Amino acid sequence: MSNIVEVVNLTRSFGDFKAVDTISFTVKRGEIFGFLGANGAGKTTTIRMLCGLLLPSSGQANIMGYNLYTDYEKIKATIGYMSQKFSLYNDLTVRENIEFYGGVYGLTRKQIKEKTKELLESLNLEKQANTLTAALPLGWKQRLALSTSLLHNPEIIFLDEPTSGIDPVSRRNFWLIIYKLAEQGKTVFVTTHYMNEAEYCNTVSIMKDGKIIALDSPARLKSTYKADKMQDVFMRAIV
Amino acid sequence: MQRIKYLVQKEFRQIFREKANLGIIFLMPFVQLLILGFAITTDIKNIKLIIVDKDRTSLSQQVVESFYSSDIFHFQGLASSEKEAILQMDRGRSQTILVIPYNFKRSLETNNQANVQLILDGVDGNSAGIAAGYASQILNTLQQKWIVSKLAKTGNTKIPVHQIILEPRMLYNSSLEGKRNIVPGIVAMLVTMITLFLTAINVVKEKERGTLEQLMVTPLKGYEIIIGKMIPFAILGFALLNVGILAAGVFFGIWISGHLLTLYLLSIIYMGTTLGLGILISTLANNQQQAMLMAWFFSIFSLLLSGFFVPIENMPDVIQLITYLNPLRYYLEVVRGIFLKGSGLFDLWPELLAMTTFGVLIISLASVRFQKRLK
Repeated sequence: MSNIVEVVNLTRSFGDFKAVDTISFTVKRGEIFGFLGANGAGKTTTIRMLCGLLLPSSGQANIMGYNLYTDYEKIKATIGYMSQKFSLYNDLTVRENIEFYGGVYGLTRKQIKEKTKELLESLNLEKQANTLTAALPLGWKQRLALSTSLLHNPEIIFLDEPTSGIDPVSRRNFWLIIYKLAEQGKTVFVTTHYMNEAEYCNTVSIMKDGKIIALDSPARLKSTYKADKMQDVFMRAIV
Repeated sequence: MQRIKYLVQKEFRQIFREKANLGIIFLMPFVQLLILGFAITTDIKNIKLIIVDKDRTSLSQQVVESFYSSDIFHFQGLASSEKEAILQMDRGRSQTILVIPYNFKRSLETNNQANVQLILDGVDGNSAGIAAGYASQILNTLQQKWIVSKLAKTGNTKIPVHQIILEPRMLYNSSLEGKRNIVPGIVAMLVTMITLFLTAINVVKEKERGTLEQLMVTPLKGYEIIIGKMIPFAILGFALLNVGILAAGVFFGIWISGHLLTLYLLSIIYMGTTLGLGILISTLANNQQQAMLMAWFFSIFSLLLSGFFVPIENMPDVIQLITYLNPLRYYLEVVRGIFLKGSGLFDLWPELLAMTTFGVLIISLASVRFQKRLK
């Protein structure tokens, strides 16, 4: 498998504070890459740099062979991103949100129409198509947000705490979508607080104070830290 | 192009979704124009007047009557002494006091001259000055009458003294009604405020909600976001301008005497500045309160230094120089010129030039600050 993301000594400081401190890692095409860490460990800052939202202080990164510094407009066309905050417009209807993001990603009117139909069917949201997005339950909102970030068929998807605050059933449904994406050959880069979700990942990286302190598959991490669950791996790693 | 189209469509959907927004955008200007147009008036009428008539003769009675019958002064009654009258002034029951001294009539008859005193409340210095002007006008008229009737008695019709009578004639605002000056000013103010505030708040709102971050990872280019955000509010500002023109005509009878198209063209150029400034503010503010505060600061500053309330010629030299940096100064000139004087593009080219320069500068500055990357 080829590497779709290559990060070398990436650093980002805010004044004296190093939010991300010389991290290096690679992500393989088609894998689910989990990013773990306490609040403020530097997960979101890393994701923002990889999406071209934040300029790194130093270090290098390539995404699908594009350089982060020079080709970030090209990177944007090939990635999907779902931020921590709900990124759809609450005062637009479900259909209008899909239409807007489809249009912005350069889909034709016909493609938008097809995609909308397909999306509403797969999310079971046909009846809610013309209701305001604000009225949807949080779990549905998150699945809708994920689906709209996939409208342009990106190769790699960055998800920043997509399941925080939603109920276990919705979380499970959300992860089913992530699995499906990985099956289709998409690469999923996901940050989370839930250790049982970490179990579903192919590779897990644990961050602490801006540094990556552990990076491996869940199975090997468990044997290294002599733990049965990722929960224990995490607790032992960050102390 | 397609991306901008979808952005504009989205903005309009959001604006029209909120019915309250429409009220704020279209009804409030209407109300503001009406209330401010009638309230802010530099016309002085109904100045409260108390007269202290110590002479109590036929001549002093004529003075009292001529003030009594004037529209300008609102006669509150006679007082027995200056002291009593000033007490009334302290209580707000009078703004001016006319004192006719003892021996007024005798002095007139023996010396051909007599003094009356006018006491003015100087708190509102502007009105006081105007009141003094009106008072001397009334006395002048009365004097004319006296001279003529006295001459008639002697059978002489020619006035034996040289008299200069000033007859002012106002051009462009012949009735000298303050509202003819104020109403076009309010139209200019409304266009400024709506475009500036709505743009600033709209972009900061997206920042607060996190949707701006999402926009930034889309292939939308920075300039496309700026254009997409400016177009809807330019259209709203333009609609508002027309509401203002219509309201000024219907409610105040003030129709523009110049070309509508000239006003349209110059307004659109001016809106480049206010919309660009809105975007610039949104790059500086982190939340809607901050954006409001900044927009307010700019609005107050530009209003006070535009010549809207105080004529620029009355300001100190240094402040007059500062007003050249105020875009609203030029637009106010444009709106008043087209409304009252029928000015054309040929007369307004310095304003056109100034506003274009401001627009280009501010939009460029906003674009530089509005980077597609977060800080």
